Amino acid sequence: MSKTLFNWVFDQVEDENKVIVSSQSGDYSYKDLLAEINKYEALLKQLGDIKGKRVAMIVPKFSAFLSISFAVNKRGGIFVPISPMLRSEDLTSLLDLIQPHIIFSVDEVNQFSFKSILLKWAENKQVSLFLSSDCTNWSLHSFTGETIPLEEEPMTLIVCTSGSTGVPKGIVVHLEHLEKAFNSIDTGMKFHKEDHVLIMPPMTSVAGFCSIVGLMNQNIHVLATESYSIPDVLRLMKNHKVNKIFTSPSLFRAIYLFAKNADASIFEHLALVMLVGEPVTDDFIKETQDLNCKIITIFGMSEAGGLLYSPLDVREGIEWNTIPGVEYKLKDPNDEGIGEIVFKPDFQFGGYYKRPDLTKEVYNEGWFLSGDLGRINEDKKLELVGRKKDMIKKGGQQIIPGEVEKVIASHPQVMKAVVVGIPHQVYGEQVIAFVQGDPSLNKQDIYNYLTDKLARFKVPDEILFIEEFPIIQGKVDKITLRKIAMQQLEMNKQGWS
Amino acid sequence: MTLEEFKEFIAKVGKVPLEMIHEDASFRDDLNIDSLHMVNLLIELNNRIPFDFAVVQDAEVLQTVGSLYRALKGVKANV
Repeated sequence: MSKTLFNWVFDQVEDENKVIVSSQSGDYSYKDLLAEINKYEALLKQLGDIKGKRVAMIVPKFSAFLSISFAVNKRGGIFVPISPMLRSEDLTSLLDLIQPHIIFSVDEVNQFSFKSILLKWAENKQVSLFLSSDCTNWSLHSFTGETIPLEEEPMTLIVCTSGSTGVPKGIVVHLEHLEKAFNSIDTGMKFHKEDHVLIMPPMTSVAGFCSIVGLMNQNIHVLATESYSIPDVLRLMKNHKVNKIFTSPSLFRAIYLFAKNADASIFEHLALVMLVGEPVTDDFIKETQDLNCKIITIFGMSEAGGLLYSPLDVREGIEWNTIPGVEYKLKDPNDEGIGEIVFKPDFQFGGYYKRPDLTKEVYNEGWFLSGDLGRINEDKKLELVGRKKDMIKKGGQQIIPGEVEKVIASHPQVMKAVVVGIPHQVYGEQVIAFVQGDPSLNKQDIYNYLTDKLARFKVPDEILFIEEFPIIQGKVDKITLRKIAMQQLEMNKQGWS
Repeated sequence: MTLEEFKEFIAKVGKVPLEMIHEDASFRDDLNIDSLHMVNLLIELNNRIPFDFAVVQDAEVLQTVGSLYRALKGVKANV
């Protein structure tokens, strides 16, 4: 039998009393976690054999999230972490894709009731639903009906992301994927036993989850935040003397901006920040000039782990090196030498869940089409020049325009919606929706309509009405739309002051 | 800035209907303004009426529309 995630982490424990994970809700040793894992195993045992069953989790409490993941893994199930930021539309599409046999969910988050959505979704299906108001005491609701087939392919977990057409995607993740993705982060961050490492990517993402379990495997204290409220994050950093942070530029900028004037001692122990998820902007460099610690950056994909990293301090420049074991080439470079970067990580990608067609589109004989454009510069180094795909990266989160467009266009008074991203000083990129619709429609109608349908970060930061869309080669011209959006927002700003 | 102007500002920057904004409204639970949006709101606010970020360090201050308004008003005579 192949090694399990549980064994990969818990066979390496050196001192079971060492505090190994911390969050706002508490500190936990390996021993504490094992006790909690036992509790969840007991809950799962009442459902019989869970081998091949998919277990969806909407669990914002860190220790419960980890313990359920390990308990499911130990008993042969497949866990599927789901972001508590999702709302009715994106959550229901995801459940329809994943078809979980078992669900653990908190009743509600920020007054949004997961409970009511899940109770409705589970009707007429053979589903076991564990609900809790505090992620500690769980009540089981058993549904009867249509039997959901078991998973035949072995897999450790399924990580969920937005799909390009508004339909979510599941990334099938094996243990090797987590191990390699963690190693790529370790290449840049060079972890040591004495470190206290804050992991900011969500625990439901590949980057967040592999960092957490990888650090546990190395007996290194890992901190994960249950709240992205900046004062809560700062308190966690201060209480645990954090010396390394893995984060997105926009989140780190927000943390730094808040703390530097008020309590600079928070950064006293900070030696290294590694940035992920967004390009580093000139604004970021300007804002962090005074910070006395090294700031580096890594580039990767959920599907392929870390691929490139720059060992230089970003304030001195960026020089991409490949992560050991990774190969790359440029596909169909144009006259300026710019082509799509194709990567070959040193592990097999598990594919997109139930979507071999999508897998085939981007993954061929171990090579991945990244959707990012690059060229080789005069120093023979790879330079990233932009994205081929029109994905928006806001605050470290990925937003697929198609998903937002689909929800806006479902408003009865909207004819068509097109979503683009333009630069933003705090978010990195902001979401702009161009809407063509009934003249009586106003922005607030659309905002009201989107509340509870889309995760907050996907809700457009600006809505602009347009009579006719610019078209180029038969398609909506997004370049022109971006220009219009930037001009329009600049005019609004001037009007405001 | 009066409380009414402050509410209008939050409605504009936070993309929230003005009628939802009252003194006791929680930024997170009632107005669905998450932490990054909160940072953006504070930066926009700071562009309009410069204040020391130390004033908004406390999570309590960032809870409701009224608590933020009072904190800013308390330290800045012209707020």
